[in-house]
Amino acid sequence: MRVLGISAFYHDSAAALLENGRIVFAAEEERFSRIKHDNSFPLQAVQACLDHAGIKISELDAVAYYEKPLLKFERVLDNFVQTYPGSLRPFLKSIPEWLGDKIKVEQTIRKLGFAGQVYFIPHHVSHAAAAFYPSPFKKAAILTIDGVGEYQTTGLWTGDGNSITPIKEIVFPHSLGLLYSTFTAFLGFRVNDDEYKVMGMAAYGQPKHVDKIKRVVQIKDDGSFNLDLDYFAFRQGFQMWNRNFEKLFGNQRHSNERITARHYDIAASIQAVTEEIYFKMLRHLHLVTKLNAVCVGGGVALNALANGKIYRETPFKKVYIFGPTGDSGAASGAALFTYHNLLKKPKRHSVEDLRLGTYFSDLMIKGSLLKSGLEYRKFSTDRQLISEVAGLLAKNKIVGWFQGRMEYGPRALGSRSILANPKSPRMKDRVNEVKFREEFRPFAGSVLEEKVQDYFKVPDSGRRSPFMTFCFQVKPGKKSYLAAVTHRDGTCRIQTVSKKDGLYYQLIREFGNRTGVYCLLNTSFNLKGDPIVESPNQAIRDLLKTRLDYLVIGNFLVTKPNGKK
Amino acid sequence: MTSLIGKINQIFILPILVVLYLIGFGLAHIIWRITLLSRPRVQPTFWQNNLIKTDSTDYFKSAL
Repeated sequence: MRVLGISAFYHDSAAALLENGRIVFAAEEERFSRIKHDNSFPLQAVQACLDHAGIKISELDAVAYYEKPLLKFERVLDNFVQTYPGSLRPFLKSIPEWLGDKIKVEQTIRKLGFAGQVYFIPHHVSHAAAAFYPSPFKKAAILTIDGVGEYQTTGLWTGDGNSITPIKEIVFPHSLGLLYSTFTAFLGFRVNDDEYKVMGMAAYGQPKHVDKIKRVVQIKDDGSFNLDLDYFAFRQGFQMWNRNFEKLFGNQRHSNERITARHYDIAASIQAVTEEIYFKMLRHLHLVTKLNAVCVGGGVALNALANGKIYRETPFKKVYIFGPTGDSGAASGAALFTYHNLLKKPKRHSVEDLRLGTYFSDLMIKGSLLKSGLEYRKFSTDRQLISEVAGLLAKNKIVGWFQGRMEYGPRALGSRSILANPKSPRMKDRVNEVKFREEFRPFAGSVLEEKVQDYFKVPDSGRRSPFMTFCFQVKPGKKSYLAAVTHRDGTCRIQTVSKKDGLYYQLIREFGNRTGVYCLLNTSFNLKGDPIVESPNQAIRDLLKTRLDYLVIGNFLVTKPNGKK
Repeated sequence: MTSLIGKINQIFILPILVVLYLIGFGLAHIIWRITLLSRPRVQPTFWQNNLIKTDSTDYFKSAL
């Protein structure tokens, strides 16, 4: 049985294909369209799913869409009523958009040639399903938390076997995601894109503005909250905040303006308040469900800094956070919910590997290399390749690493990564130069699973972090080994790599054997403002455009032409 | 090239939307204001019951 899941028209459109309950292919549209966070209908991602399975769309058993468009439209209209007459301009802008593609999802799917049943899964049900079904837990509490779906912004659920049962919710406009996004925009960054920059900035500031933030958001001990709408403009305008907000927090930062201590302090404050609400909610969820395992979904669950503290701050003993926890992951959530809950198929498959995207054969890679005219070496065995690349990394070379199937979700997990030696204190600046990105942003570390507790303060039950969804403290004695991946607050976002990760595992082990550090700096293979590379041609282009030293594609090692910086 | 219907649509859509907004949404706004009066001012919690029926397949066949 095949079910296709689709998410679209907000941000990070994606498609995911299930075969007998197993996700066999999933990818974001942005990887193909090359538009970061592309929100258009994911035609290319859908086609890639069908190509992978070698089927036509008519051969699918069901299509699941990740939200209910008419219900969402109802909320939009409801919002215009409540904010009348201030909402005239957004009304005039958004109504023609809504009456176009956004509301005609089923017609769009039919036009592709699908005549079977289309299911519309509420946004937060899709998130809950993406959080729970891929987890290894038979029974778990579920928290979903994001900007907004139809009405819901936060949900408490339980998952048991094949079923997901709702408990409580918070609805629009009261949204932790929108609160965080308001501060993201206020600090001069892009909403639904740069929230992780605010998280990175938080380590450089002091939470001096917590009391002020608590004037704009009222928090109860059970984690429920209410935004004071006198400070926000996102309901009736194109800006997230209003004059009252500026009176409280001062002038906004413009994107090209220098970042000052005040901006860092604001970032630290919103991170602190977010964590307070997050942990209060989780403690309440534990109280209500009495379960030891929790799954968290929705865009706010991308806050790896908060996730790493769940073990310490809440009674939950086991935590699972699916890698693509935002809207792209909701495509697979909608499909999983349809398969298990609606079509009553019992067998669940936990997801431990997110390499679910496109793949390029040696022949295709060689074709791209020949076309580029670059010099390359082909290694006949993996061992030779690993030995050579580990040697380059040990010599502080920066390597583009393109292997196997592309990752599903926002994190590069060793398939489309830029790798470097984490020991060198200068490496952070060098890789930032390669990627043209801000200096305050930290880099993640990929560490062998069996060595993770040697380097990081990780609880026994949290030893596995294969999707890079948790930050943990670097052990004091190890900071000098991990200078390039240790953030200002002493944390590092980690990916644990196991033998199942194949070549990537072998590379880190060989690097460790040479340097004594069983960890690599791992950052996504993309330039600032671009999506992660999808194809060999894009990887080659990035090699030529940047200060990358080498590129490894499959078994090919590509060297930058002489004199090219 | 834009068709004649497309051009007419472009010319008239904006005034129609403005009139619809000013009258229709204005009335709805007044009704909404009145309903606000009956809401409690102090709430012990901001959690609400989640009423999604995950066991009803028909519910998921609709876009609403």
